[in-house]
Amino acid sequence: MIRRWAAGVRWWLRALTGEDRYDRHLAACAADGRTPMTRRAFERHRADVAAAHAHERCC
Amino acid sequence: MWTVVALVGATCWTVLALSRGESVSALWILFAALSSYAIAYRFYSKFIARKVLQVDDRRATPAERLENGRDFEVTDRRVLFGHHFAAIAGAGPLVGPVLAAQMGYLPGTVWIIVGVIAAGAVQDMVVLFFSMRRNGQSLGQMIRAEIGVVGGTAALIAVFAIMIIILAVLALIVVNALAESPWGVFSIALTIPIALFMGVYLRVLRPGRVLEASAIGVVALLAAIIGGGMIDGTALGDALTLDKTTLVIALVVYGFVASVLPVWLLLTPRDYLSTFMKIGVIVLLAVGLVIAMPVLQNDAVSSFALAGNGPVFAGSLFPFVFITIACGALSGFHALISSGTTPKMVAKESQVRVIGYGGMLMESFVAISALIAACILDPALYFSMNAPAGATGGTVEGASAFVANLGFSISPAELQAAADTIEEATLVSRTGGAPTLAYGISEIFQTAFGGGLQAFWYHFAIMFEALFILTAVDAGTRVGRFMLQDTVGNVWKRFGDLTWRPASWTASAVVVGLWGYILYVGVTDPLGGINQLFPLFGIANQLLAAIALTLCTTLLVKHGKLRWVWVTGVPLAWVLVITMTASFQKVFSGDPKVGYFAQRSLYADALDRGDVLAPAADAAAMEKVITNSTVNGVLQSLFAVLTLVVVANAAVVCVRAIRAGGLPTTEVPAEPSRIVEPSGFFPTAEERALLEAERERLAAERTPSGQQ
Repeated sequence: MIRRWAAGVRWWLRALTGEDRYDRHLAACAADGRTPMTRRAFERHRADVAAAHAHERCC
Repeated sequence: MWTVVALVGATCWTVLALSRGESVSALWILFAALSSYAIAYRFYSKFIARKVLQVDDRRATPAERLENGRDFEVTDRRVLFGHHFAAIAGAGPLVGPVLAAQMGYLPGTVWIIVGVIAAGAVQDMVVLFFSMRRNGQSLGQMIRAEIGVVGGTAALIAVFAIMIIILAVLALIVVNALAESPWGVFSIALTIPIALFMGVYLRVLRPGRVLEASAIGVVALLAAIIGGGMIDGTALGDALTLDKTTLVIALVVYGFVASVLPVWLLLTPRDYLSTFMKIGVIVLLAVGLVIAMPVLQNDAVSSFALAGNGPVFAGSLFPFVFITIACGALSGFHALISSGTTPKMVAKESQVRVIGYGGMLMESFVAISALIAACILDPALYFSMNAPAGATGGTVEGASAFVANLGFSISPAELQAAADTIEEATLVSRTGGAPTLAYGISEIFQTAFGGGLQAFWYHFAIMFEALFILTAVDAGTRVGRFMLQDTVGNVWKRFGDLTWRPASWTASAVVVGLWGYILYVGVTDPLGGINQLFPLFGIANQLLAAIALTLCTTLLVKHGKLRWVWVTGVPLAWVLVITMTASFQKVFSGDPKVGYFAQRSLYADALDRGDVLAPAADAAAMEKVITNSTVNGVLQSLFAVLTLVVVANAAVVCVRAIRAGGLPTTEVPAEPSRIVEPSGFFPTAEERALLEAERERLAAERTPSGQQ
């Protein structure tokens, strides 16, 4: 029970921070038979995309 | 089950309404809030979703139709709830209720709960829905398209100006909390190298391992708070004992540097830290309150509520409680987040309920906790902390005498002892709300968890408030810069290029300069910056809400849903009444404590006669008061006029729509959805069966029959 909860929290936090994005990229590449990017290049690309967007935070 | 919830709620409300002069437990407020939220979510938000908005899960959302892996992306509702909540909640709901506690605990409680249920959460949900039906258009774009160019332009200027004020007031809260506090300055300053380290970690050392980096960051953050307690009396401690003006310069420089540095280096890692702290603090506060079970110390309704002569901010209960508590009850700023970012990620239309309405209820809960933290303090201490330095003289003796005048008693020694328990030099006139809240939280945690850690908890609370605010200041400056570049880009194309350094640096400098100026005005104001500027901030935020609700109401009319127009129409009418009354009083009131221009002429006349009026000390301070009240008054009038322009423009459109029985809108035509997703947090049995069937279908597709 506790283990299930902990796994749930971990899943949520990974998804919230975008840490799981690379895993999803790997899965998508595997499904389509493409060669995945390296993690370094992938994260760099993600940061560049984020930089081009306004990032709103309220009071 | 809902009968039980309703009974619990009714009991709590009855106790709150009937108790007078005896000790009332704060838990009554907590449970009144929780049961009211539950009922409102279950029934009212469902009614809005089904009858008013007519959400349709067979219709594909922009996230599904336009999925591109960047801004348009189907996102799990629980994850999107986290994103949305992190974006809307910050220091606002923590500060407003603390200041409003001068009116007693009841007005704030009623407004936070009723306001969020009937207005704030409705606004967030309806804006989210309408933006989602328009491919995630921003508030400004929707107003331009649905109301008109005049309204759209006025809204654009209003949004920009309001954002500047909000940033300035947030920064002012940080300055007031950190002034003369080496412990605070030390731990906040360390958040910068910690964030930089996390940035490098995530970019170079171990790309993408956000949880690892955040864990390191949080541990370092706690170490920074503990370390701060050791520097008092050392040379470093002396060097970090900064006055307000120095802090303003530091913040302005920081704001500029942060907005031009690469986002991955500072902004993103700081945002992770801030998000984790946000979640952690809310959980901790809820647990702490239930364990500590504190008793409310102030009156249900204080004498300042009716007389309007409170020292924290001037003005009577109506309209100023509704202005002071913006975030947590109704916050116009949320409309900017509910349009634009979040709607592009919603998986199913019915999820606007959990994300829009539910997210705002969560923020309201934060506001209720903050209100409780302020109301469990001895009122004498509360007023000593929150009265401007001009009134208390900044000394424990002065503060003791001042609150004795208000009818409360605390000795200078007791005031000093309170400051000593949290290892601060003084608590007198630490305005801005953050120190008061931090003190209240430190008492709650001390009672709940024990261990003689009150000083640690105080600085922990200051740290997270400052962290939220600095994140908002970084992000707000960037948003302001984007808006400015976009607007100027219409005339001079090159300037709109976000990657062109000269443009982005100039735009950043302009934005930082604007809020920096207002911040400076607030910090150096002889009358006390918070009591002068906070009403301006609250009114600005509520005026933005008025603009957003105007858009929602217009859209309901244009869609021919006249029958349901009251859902946003009533909150709109209410927010217009409070903001216009407050604006009118701030501009035209003859009472110099309330009206900016009355204040201006009082000081201008005295200066002409060669007099110096307290709390100004000399002619230069008099001049400052005159300039500041003029600036505040002009801004106040500008905001009100801009809002009225939007409302008037919308009224014309509404009349036309009613005559025609509805008008075409820019809503994107329906396309069938192909995905299956539950609507609420927990899938219903029916949804679970659908999900299972979908999973089997997908599995069958993936295994072509030949390979079986």
